[in-house]
Formats: sequence, structure tokens, C-alpha cells
Amino acid sequence: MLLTLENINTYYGLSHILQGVSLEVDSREIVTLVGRNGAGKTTTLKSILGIAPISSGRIRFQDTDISALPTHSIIQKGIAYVPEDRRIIPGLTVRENLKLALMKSKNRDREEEMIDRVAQYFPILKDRLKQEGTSLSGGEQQMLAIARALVTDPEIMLIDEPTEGLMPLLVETIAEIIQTIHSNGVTVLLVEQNMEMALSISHRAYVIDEGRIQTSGDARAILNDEEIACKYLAV
Amino acid sequence: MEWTAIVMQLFTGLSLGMLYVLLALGLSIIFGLLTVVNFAHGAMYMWGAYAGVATVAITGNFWLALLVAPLVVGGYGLLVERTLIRPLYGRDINYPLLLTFGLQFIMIEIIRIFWGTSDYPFQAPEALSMPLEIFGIFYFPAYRVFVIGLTVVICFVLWFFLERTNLGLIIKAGTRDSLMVKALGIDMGRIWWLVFGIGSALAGIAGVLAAPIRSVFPEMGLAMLVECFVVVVVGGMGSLKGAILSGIIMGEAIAITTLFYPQMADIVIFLVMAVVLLIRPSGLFGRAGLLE
Ligand SMILES: Nc1ncnc2c1ncn2[C@@H]1O[C@H](COP(=O)(O)OP(=O)(O)OP(=O)(O)O)[C@@H](O)[C@H]1O
Ligand SMILES: [Mg+2]
Repeated sequence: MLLTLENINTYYGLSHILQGVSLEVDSREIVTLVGRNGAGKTTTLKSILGIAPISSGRIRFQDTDISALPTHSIIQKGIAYVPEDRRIIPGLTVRENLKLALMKSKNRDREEEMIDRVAQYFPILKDRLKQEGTSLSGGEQQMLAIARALVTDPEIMLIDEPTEGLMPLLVETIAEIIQTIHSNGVTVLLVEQNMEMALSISHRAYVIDEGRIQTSGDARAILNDEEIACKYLAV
Repeated sequence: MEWTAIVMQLFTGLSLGMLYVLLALGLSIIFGLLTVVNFAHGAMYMWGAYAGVATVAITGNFWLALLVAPLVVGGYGLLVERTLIRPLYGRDINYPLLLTFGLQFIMIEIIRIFWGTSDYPFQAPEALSMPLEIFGIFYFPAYRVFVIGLTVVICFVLWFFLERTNLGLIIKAGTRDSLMVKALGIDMGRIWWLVFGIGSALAGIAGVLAAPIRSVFPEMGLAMLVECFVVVVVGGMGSLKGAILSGIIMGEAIAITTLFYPQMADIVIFLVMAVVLLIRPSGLFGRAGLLE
């Protein structure tokens, strides 16, 4: 397994948010974590990254225990993060946002080459390298957030609701991008509200509710299971 | 009144303003990145002056003092951040504020114990002690010209560091979203440490530069700290451009008031602050991003 979560518990202050979450992602898989608002999806990703530190359980990445590592060390091991709200850094150009991601990665000496390479994926960014990142449109900022994760050439990308607030055409584009990234050898752990899209491009899925994994299995089977949809995913 | 007297006084104001600039830059860069309000900044300035006094007493070399002061105070800043301030990150921003507030009195007390409470005379170096002819119209102490020149150089170096280096990019990004910077694989803890050291070193160099102009005594940083907070607030919290502009404005305001209405010289900066904040509540550059 590339990434394994064993029975992790995470608190925000006194609230017990993740209650024994276990989850596995194998190399070269696309795995989706679905669940309604407040189910604990983002917290799961933040726990993996050490942003929301776990209080018990274990997280393993490529056979090393990363549970107690600080965020920056976890990222440096080859995990890239595309956060929920994109988090493009204000005051920095598109290029500087990408450059920042490269700084501590294994590709730090190949800045030009790597920026060129992601510009191939995202032609819209190519002409805007000198523009301030936060002046891009919502869709373009999402592309930049994905590009920023991709420049480091990660083993796995944790992507949190990439299609949130985007129009249908862009949702499709994002889905295609994720598939292309995957076909180039990157493993993906995806969090999505857009079940149709997410489950149709995933191999497997986990359903989380109230901080617990309720069920998991083949992505298509979960997509077609009305009982699951009713019980855990209906708003 | 002779107009050359006014021009001279403007020069004096500029050299005073430069001390404000150096101190306010240190305060601002620390606040901008760490959101730590460093109340020990005035005491660090004072330590810079005493580090200068000690170096000159031992070696007789002012230039060496100019180097030793920022190194000693910067090193001390690194130690303080690592041992005292770091455990307080992630809590209320009042904790580091209270801590440094207390620390300044400890720092003052240490100086009183080892150097006593009286003033220390501190001579400008021989090479800078004669007056310098400016534009062929008036004479001005060479030392003050040196203070102005050195501050300009320091500002430029700082600008270059922040705008043209990788570390500068990290600092700029970190003032806007340090969590995301961590999530890009960068160890922000080390950057915070370094920046606290740089800010402290700036206080140290301001202290040794001030020593020949103002007298050296244990409480010399107290009033200066208050004045520098005024400078930073007027410039806009965390804005380096603001710190520079506001430092110069305040130096000039004091100098000009001293010339025309000396009774007001001690409070004029508070008047300027009131006026600026009435017009721009977040300071001159408060609206712009931090460290821009
Ligand atoms: N910083 C925080 N402090 C306290 N509680 C939090 C914090 N962040 C999230 N929570 C709570 O933790 C629970 C899980 O939140 P989380 O963000 O993981 O949900 P999510 O599944 O990502 O939801 P969404 O689909 O809305 O993004 C929620 O009840 C939320 O209110
Ligand atoms: Mg979420």
C-alpha cells in the first residue's frame, strides 16, 4: 500500500471529529472519499498532512510512519495537497506560486523545465505566469492549485473538492485533468461532493459520515447503490 | 530665521527618522510574519547600544562595534525565539506580547546590574567626527550623514533580500498564508526563527548607531519603543514601505517642531498619528498586503 490510515482519531479542541478512520490507497489508484458536509473529509486529508494532528492511530506512507512528522516533512516525502479553498497565495504571481512549491521538492533545480511541463497541462496558465495568482478566475485558480501540486512530481495528490463552484464544462475539464495526471503515474486521493464525476473516474471509494468510514468498495458499485446514497449522502 | 537652519534641521530630522526606520522595520517584519508584537524591541535597541559601548571599551574600534551589536542582539533574538516565543505559537497573540513585555524589564535590569544606571558617553569615531559641508551651503555632522547613508544601504539590502531571493519569497508568502506555505513543504518554523533574528539584529544596529547621537542608559529603549509603535501604526502594521515612509515623516515632524515650537516636540508624533489614523484608520500602507 502507498498510503495507509489505521484507526485514526482527530480532535478539534474537545470535539472528536475523526473517530477511528481507516483507509488505504494503493499505488496508481484513484480513490474517492465521499460524504456530506461536515462528515470529516477535509479533516481526514488534514490529518494525513499533520495539519490537524491525530491523537491516536497510525498513518503510513511508503512503509514509513508519518503520523508524528511535521507538515513540511510529510509534503517533502512526495505527498502534494490541493486544498478545498485553493489557497492561492495573495501577492504572488502565478510563477511565484509554482516556484514556492518547487523550492523544497526534488525538482528544485529544474524550475524552468517543471514550470514548462505543467504549462503543457494548463495552457491557460502559460500566458499568465507573471499575473498575480489571486487575480485569476475561480476555474483558473483551481488549475493553478492543481498545477502547484503537480510541479513537485508527487507520488500521491490529495485533492479536496476541485470542482466546487465551477460550471459544468469546467467540471469535465477537471475530471479529464485528474485522469491525465493519474495516467502519468500519480496516485490520487480525491474528496468530492460531485459524486457522479468523482465516482466515475475512481477505482474505489470510501463513504464517510460523522467521522467514521461507513462503507467502502468499488466506485461504480457505490455510485449505483441507492441505499448508500439515501443513508449517507443525501443532504 | 535663516533658511539654511531649516535645511539643516531637516537633515537632523532625517537622521533621527532613520533610527525610527531601522527599528520600525524590525518590529514590522516580525509582526508581519510571526504576528508577534515584540515589546522587547526597545530593550534590544538598548542592548545594541551597550554592545557597542562594550566593544569600543575593549577594542577601541567603532566599526567593529557596528558589526558586533547586530550580531549579539540578533543572536540573542534567535535564542529568545527558540526558547521563549516558539512554545507560544498557535495560542492567543497576547501571550508573546506579555512575554516580551516582561522580558524587556529583565533586560533593563541586567544592564543596571552590570553597567549601573548612569549614562555612558559614546563618541562617534574619529573619521566621522568633523562636520561635513553639504551642497556648499552648510555644515552637518559627518556622523549623521553616515547614519542616513547606512540606513539607506540597509533598506536596499532588505528590499533585495525580500524581493529577489528565494528566502524573501518564502517570507512574503508566509506573511499571507503560512499554513499553505507549510503545505508546500517549507519549514516555516525555521523561517520564523530567522526573521525574529533579523528583526532583532535591526534593533541592535539601530542601538549602536543611536549611541553617539542620543545618550546610552538602561531605559533608553522605553520611550523609543513607544515612538516606534507609533511609527509602525502610522505606516500600517506589517508594511515595510509604510515603516520607512512613516519613520522619515516622524523624524522630520519632531525636528521641525523642535525648531519652531520646542514644547510640542515630545508629543508631535502622537498628533501626526491621530491625524493619519483619522484619515486612514489602517495607516498609510495598512490596506496593502503585509511586507509590500
Ligand atoms: N478548525 C476547526 N475547528 C473546530 N471544528 C472544526 C474545524 N474544522 C472543521 N471542524 C468541524 O469538523 C467537522 C468535519 O469538518 P470537515 O471540514 O472535515 O468536513 P467536510 O467533510 O470536509 O465537509 P465539507 O464537505 O463541507 O467540506 C465539522 O463538524 C466541522 O464543523
Ligand atoms: Mg471539506
